[in-house]
Amino acid sequence: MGMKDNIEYNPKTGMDKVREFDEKILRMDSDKILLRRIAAYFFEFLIGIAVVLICYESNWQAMHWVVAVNYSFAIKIHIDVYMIIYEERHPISIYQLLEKIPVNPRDIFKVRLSYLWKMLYKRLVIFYILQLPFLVYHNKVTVVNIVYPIAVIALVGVGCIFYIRPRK
Amino acid sequence: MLEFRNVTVKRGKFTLSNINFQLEDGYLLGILGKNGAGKTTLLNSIMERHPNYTGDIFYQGIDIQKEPEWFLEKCAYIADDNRFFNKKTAMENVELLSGFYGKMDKEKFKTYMEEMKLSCRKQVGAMSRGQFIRFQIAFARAHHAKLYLLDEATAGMDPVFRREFYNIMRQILAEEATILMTTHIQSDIDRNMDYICRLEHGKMVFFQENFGEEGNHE
Repeated sequence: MGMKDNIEYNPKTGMDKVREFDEKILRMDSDKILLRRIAAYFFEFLIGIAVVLICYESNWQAMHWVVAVNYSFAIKIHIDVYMIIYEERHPISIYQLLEKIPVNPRDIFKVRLSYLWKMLYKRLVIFYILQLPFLVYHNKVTVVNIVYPIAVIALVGVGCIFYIRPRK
Repeated sequence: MLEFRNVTVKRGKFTLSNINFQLEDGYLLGILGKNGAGKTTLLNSIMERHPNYTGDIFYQGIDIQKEPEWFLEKCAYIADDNRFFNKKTAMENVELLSGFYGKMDKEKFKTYMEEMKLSCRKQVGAMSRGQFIRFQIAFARAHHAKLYLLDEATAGMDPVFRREFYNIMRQILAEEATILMTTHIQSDIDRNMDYICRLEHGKMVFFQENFGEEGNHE
């Protein structure tokens, strides 16, 4: 029997284990999570109304900037919903907590990244695409209006990845 | 079997140099030395995912750095600065972390906690140092750890429980597990260790069979 034969692999992948762990903690802390979710959506709703008002007042010129800022805040809050639950109120804690547990930190990061995309970032990109017809309709298709929001979205993305990166 | 081959660990200005030893399954190794001699560094070098050492550490013939998840599943690090979910109960911690271990047995955990005279409903953050160490031992046994690394586990334990603690260690050793344990308590060393190694200023001064009071090595 070779050395490798000694290794009994758990059939679940590392990412499956992390997801299972997240589901359990979300179930266990469901009341706390629910409150944070309500707060996040309420916050988004308020800022959404502000966005529409500001955009209307500025004849839609401020739209991209306000939307980008709105979604930066919203993304931060949504990430917090998934991160703050780990007691020490910072994503670093999840890596420290699981440091001596058989899970690869890269799997935790990959799962966090998939949340980021599925729950938050995808919405930002879809929102940006949906705005394009409005820009065309209001004859506001300029380099600034097209490129700047992409830069802001990219910056938010980099910030989020930095926030959830594996740390010691 | 646990094997260190020419392991040198650098941590800031401190260097633990050229550690070599082999320890068969089923034995308890006591790691002795003054504060700052490198005892905790030695244990940490086994546990670290991104090692800061040169040389090789093998467990059951496998380089632990090549199979870290497999190794961590077999391994239990027990120390008072270990991290768990402090605001959750002992059982909730087991529930949460069980998915990472292929062989976590929740029923056995309850039994071990009863043996340790601890409640599964006790919040981890509210445990005393001794209770926290006992909880970690129950946790490790429940996931069928085979290599136990105990950092000053008996410090501050009352003599009655210390005797019980070593009885539990003997039960663990009977399951073909291996234990590495740092301690300062001379009577513990004399009575309970199968092998002892002494570290001084980052060097291993000796590694030998223990012919102490009761001569546990068979």
